[in-house]
Amino acid sequence: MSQSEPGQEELHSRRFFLGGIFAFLTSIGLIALGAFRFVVPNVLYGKNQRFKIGSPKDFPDKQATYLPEQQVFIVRDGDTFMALSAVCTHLGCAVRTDPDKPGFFCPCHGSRFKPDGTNYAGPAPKPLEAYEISMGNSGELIVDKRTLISPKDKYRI
Amino acid sequence: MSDEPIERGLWKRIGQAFRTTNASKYLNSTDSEARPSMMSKGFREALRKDIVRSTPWKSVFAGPYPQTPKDNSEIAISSFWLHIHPAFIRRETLKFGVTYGLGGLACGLFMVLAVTGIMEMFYYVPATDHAYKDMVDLQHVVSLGKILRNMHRWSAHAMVVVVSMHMLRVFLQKGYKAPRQLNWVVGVILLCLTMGLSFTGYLLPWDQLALWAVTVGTNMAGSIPFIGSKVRYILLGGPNVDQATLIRFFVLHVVVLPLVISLFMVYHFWRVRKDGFSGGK
Repeated sequence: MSQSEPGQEELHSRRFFLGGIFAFLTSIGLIALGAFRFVVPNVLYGKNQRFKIGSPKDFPDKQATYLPEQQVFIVRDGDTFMALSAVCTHLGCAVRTDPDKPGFFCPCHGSRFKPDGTNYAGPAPKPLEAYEISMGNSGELIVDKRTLISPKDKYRI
Repeated sequence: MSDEPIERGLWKRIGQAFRTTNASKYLNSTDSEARPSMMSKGFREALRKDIVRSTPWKSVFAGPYPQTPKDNSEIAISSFWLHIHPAFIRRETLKFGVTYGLGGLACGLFMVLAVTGIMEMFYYVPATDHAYKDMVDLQHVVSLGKILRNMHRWSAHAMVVVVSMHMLRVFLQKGYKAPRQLNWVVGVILLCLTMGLSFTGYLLPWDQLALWAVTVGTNMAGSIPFIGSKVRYILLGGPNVDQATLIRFFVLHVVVLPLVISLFMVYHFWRVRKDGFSGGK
């Protein structure tokens, strides 16, 4: 380096180069992190997860009543009630009442479930999810999709 | 008229041509001598030379018309549009059976998909209460809409098939070996991007098939250990396939993935040229 260009020594130094690389990678990393955070939604405008489904007597006995808005089956057996998720535990298709035998059937890959949600055929690895049922002050049943319960725990009126 | 001296310069010549054209005289006369002087051989030759010497012409065509094989190869090297072909190539490598033209076919299908896809966007609105109706309208109401949508649909299916066949061809010919390892990796990335385009495009008709296929597909992504549920949440923009999912897939399908795949395609082609031909070794 010639004496007349004092800045060149500094610009060509290893310290300056590494500093530049570090600053560049840090900013790229921060931008990537920000972009990743950006695509994660903070607010979801969905339906209420806890909702009234009506009076117990509205549901026919020994049957599963489908609530399409909430993707929930209300299964009544005498005095006991269950709220089963209609989402197949295999890959998330909506199950329907089995046309052949009591219980549920998934049209996507042929999983079958008993009326209490237990899986017994097809690729589904788990029983259908069961939600907590409670009784509101007005005598209406309330389903809370945020609270999962064991399929053995049925709600008795 | 023909004795008028031929002026120098392209613009002057064009002006002269207008001045000397006498349409009524030309139409009414059977005398060939009465033709405007711009039709004379000397004038045409001078005009041709002026055009070839003009700045716009020279900025497009760098050199004179090639006369020798050396000229040809120089043009192939320097021209942007021709540089995709090598200056020299073994005759055997040009045989159809060497490549079956599959890579070029995939590129051509991508171009068809880009054009038809852009045209579909004139009618398609990515909203849950619009998308299905717009897709049906495109097929039954819009002029030539049915052929447009089916071109996009069949080209999309064909692109997945052709890209797979291209990969199989390269594999069977050991085209992934040195010095082309990197281009094989780029090719695998291109395959994944093609699949990504195929999958994101699948949701856009917003019919039952689309809805459940994407539900199933994103649930598969959800089964990745540890990060699966997060990946699914980000892909869907929520817990279920909904409006947030439709717009995400739309943006990925029409902007992000086409842009990324174009960049990788350009690099892929450049790499083909850089790695050279094996000449059937």
